[in-house]
Amino acid sequence: MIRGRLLWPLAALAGLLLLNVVFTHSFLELRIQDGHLYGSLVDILRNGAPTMLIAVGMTLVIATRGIDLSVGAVAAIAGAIGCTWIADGGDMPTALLLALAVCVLLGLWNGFLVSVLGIQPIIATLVLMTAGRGGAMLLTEGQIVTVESSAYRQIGAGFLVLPIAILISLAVLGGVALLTRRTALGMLIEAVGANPEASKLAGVRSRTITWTVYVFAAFCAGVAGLMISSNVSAADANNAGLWIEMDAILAVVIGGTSLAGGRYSLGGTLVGALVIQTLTTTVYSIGVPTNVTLLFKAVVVITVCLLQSPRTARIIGGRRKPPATAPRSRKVAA
Amino acid sequence: MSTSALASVRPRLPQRFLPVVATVVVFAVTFGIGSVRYQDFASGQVVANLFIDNAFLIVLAVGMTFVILTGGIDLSVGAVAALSTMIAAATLRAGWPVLLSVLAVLVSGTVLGLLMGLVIHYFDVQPFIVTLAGMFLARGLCFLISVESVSITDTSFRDFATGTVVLPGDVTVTYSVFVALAVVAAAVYVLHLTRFGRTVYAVGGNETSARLMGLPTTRAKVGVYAVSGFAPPWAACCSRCTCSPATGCTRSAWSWTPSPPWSSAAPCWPAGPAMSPVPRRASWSSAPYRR
Repeated sequence: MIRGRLLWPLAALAGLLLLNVVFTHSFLELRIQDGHLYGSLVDILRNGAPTMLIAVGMTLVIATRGIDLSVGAVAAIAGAIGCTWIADGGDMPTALLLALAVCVLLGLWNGFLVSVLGIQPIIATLVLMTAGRGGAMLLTEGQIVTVESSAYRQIGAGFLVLPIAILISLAVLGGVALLTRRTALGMLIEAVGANPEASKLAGVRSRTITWTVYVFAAFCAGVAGLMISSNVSAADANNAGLWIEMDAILAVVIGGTSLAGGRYSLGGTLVGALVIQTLTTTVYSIGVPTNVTLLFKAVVVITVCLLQSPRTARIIGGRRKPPATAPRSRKVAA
Repeated sequence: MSTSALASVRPRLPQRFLPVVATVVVFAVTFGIGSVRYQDFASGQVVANLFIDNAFLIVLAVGMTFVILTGGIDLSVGAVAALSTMIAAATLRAGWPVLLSVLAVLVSGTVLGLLMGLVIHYFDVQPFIVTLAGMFLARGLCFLISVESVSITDTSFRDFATGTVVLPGDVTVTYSVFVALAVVAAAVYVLHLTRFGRTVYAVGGNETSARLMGLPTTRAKVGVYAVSGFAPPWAACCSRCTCSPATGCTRSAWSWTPSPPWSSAAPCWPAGPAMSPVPRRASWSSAPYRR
């Protein structure tokens, strides 16, 4: 089922890459220089790393039938803390620890609102989405804080053959995949998303699980925020991670995870994040006029979603015959 | 579901209205603090200004209420409102008569909403995603019409924007307040006293039950998005009155505020019918999305 759902996102990715090759013949070329891998594909990976990381956290949140809109603001806060600490003469490990600790605290707050107070996730995280950037502005005193730390710069712009940022994202993705798919944790998360009441009655500690996924999402957002600020050696409270929650949610959905919760696909999220970033890169590389960029994005997103829809699959598959099964499955779907 | 009938069955009424009560209390407390701290704060004009400044938000929130009642969400309203102003400005500049221009704006908003509703219902794609794409689409169309701000110089638009009415008690309000209040009244009528409105509530309560009862759920589910697309043009007309009355509204005046979809959705959530009107314990994505 998941495999079938991944078909169209993969096709979209291939289509976008093909479009790029048509416009720029050297698009797929890779070369090694100073022990670093260079090329447009590497750029996609590097620029897509923060979105991918946030999307991994978002996948687990969405699997519990929640949503986290605050990730962009949390990312901005992480960058602001990291940069101001270093700019004020602090050392890098402390800066990272401090930034991530604050992000975990913010995640605890989100999780508390959702799992203990029972506030709808979209509202609970909206609080931090609007207030968080204000907090980041306070930290940076409304300025763009720049840092001159080559060690700090490594997180977002460094290379170990591949960009370090994408290695971090893939490591987190792999870690989550191992932790949730090789143990019962993934099934428990899906159980909470499928039916919180039933899972609680079955003995699943749904409150703890819900709380944990929000903390993890905030942690991922924190690391992504550090990547973003490290990439440009500056913390911009207003624009760092702006709209990244939308990109992350799109990535998760394009990857075949339902916003209704109850099941998720980390592989799908990986592909989804790559589609989103390739889309952005394509807009620049094939020279889509800036005034139709958003139109282009809207058309691609809606096309992928329509192609993924079960109804389209039925139409393409030509299985209009068996009405006994088709409408029934649709009822479940609706 | 009439409230009095419910009350006689079970003393559930207070809990149902708890969010509204909480919102009213928060409003009263903030207003009270303002009145104590600042001279002349507690005047009729300040209250009237709340309506004048938020007329467009009221209108957008009314449209959003329809959508949220069915368990959906519409992120595109802010972008559609921006598109409405752009279409109005562009068509007027091209020399269209005012009425035709207004008609074009209303039709385009409604058609966009209708399309999103059709995709959501027939292709079973999540409303969050469809309306997010709709937001991109509407914003993109804005850019396609013009990258620059377009001024509206038409006199009837300007008269509407600058015109004020003095109410008894020396309170001055703009026409936009009346538009907003009329929209609220119309929505109350439609939601509570028409078949369409009752079906909307039924769909939000339990779509499958509603369909099995023979209610036209498809019409309601698609219709709410059309309603939600119909509202932004009115909101745009209200905002035009507040943002820059002298030159007419430019797109840049408010459409690029960081998060119009959220800010327009937010009023519905705490005070309004909650995401899922009837089963209180369900989360916001309960019945309509379940797979």
